[in-house]
Amino acid sequence: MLRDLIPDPSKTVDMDHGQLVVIAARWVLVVAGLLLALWDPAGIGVLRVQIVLILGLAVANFFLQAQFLKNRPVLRDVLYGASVADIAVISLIVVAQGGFSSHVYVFYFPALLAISVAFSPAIVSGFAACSAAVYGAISMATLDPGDEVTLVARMIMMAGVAMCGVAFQNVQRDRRTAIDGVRVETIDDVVDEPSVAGLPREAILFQTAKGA
Amino acid sequence: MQNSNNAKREAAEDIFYGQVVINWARWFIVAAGMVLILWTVEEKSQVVMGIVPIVAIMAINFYLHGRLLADRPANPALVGLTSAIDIGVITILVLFWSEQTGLASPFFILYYPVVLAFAFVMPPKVSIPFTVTTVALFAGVCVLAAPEILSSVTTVKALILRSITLAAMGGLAAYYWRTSLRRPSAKTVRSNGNGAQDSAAIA
Repeated sequence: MLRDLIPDPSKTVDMDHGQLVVIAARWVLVVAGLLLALWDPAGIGVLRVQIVLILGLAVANFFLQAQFLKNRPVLRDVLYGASVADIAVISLIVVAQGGFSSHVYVFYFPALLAISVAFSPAIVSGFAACSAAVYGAISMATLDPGDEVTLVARMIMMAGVAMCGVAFQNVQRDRRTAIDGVRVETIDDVVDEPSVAGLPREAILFQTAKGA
Repeated sequence: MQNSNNAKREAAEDIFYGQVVINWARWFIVAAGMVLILWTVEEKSQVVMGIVPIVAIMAINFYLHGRLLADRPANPALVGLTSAIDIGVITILVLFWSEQTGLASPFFILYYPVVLAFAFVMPPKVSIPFTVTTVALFAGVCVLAAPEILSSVTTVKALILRSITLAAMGGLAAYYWRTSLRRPSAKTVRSNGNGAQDSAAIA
C-alpha cells in the first residue's frame, strides 16, 4: 500500500525553471487574490468561496514549492492538476463575482503565461483553448448585449499570451539544443575523467600537449 | 575579457532569436484591436479614425517581421523603440477611444502581450523599467480619464488588480528569461582554457 505513495520515476518530472514560473505565478495569484478578497468584500457568501479556494491553492503551491526546495521530482499529473486547479479557481471566482462583469479574469493572463513556458506546446494549446472556452461560456451566460466584442478581444489576448510563451519556449529550446551540441572539454575535465569519447584519457592529453 | 564578450554575445542572441515573440505578440494585438474597433463603433468616421493606429502597428510589424524572415532582425534600440510605440498607441486608445475610456476601456488588455514579449526578449535591467513605466502610465491614464475612480473602492480595486497582473506578466517573464537559458550553470559548453573556444558555433 505504501508503494502507492512512492512516485514512479517514469511518471515524474524534475522541477525545472518552467515549473518555478508556475509556482511564482501561483504565489502572485494567492497573495493578490487574498488581499483583494479581504479588502472591502462583496458579501459573506462570495468571501467564503474566495478564501477557501485561494487558501487551498496556497497549500497546494506550498507542497510544490517544498518539493522543489528538497530537489525532489513531482508526479507529472500533479503538475497538470495544479495548473487545472489554477484555471478552475480563477473561473470559480469570476462566476462568484458575477461572470463577465468581474475584473478577476485578468488573472488568466499570468496563469496562462506560466503554463505556456512550463508545458509542451500541445498541452499549452489545450490549456489555452479550455481556459478561453470556460471563460467564454461563463461570460456568454452573464454579459450584456454588445459586450460580445470585448469578450472576443479578451479571448484573443488569452490565446496571444499562450502563443508568446510557446514561441519563446521554442526559441530557448532551440538555443539550448545548439549550446548542448557544442561540447568542448577542458584539460581539467579530461584529467578528471577516465575516458573521453571512447578514447583513453592519456591519448587526449597527449594530443592536447602536442597541439599546445 | 572572454566572459565579457560571451555576455555581449548572449545579449545579442537574446534579441536576435527572441524578437519573433514580439512580432507574434504584435499580430495578436492587431487582431484584437481590429475586432474592438471595427465592431464597437457605429459611424464610418470613427472606424477611419480608429483603424489608423492599428494599421500603423501592422505596418511596423510587417517591416520587423519581414526583416526577421530575411535574417536581418532589428537591433535592441529598434526593438525598444517599436515596443514603446506599441505602448503609446495602446495608451492613446485607452485614453481617447469611444465613450469607454480609462479604466472602462476594453483596450487595456492589449498591454499584456506587449509587456510579456518585451520581458521575454530584453534583459531584466531594461524590461523591468519598461514594465514599471507601462503600469504607471496605465494607472496615470485611468486617473486622468476619470479622477472620480479614486473615490470608489471597487474601481480602485480593479485598477490595483490590473496593475498587479500587468506587473506580474513583466516580472514572471523576466524571471523566466533569467532562468531558462543561461545561464548555463551546468551546461556543457566549456572553453579549452585558453579562450580559444569557437563560440560562433553556438549560433
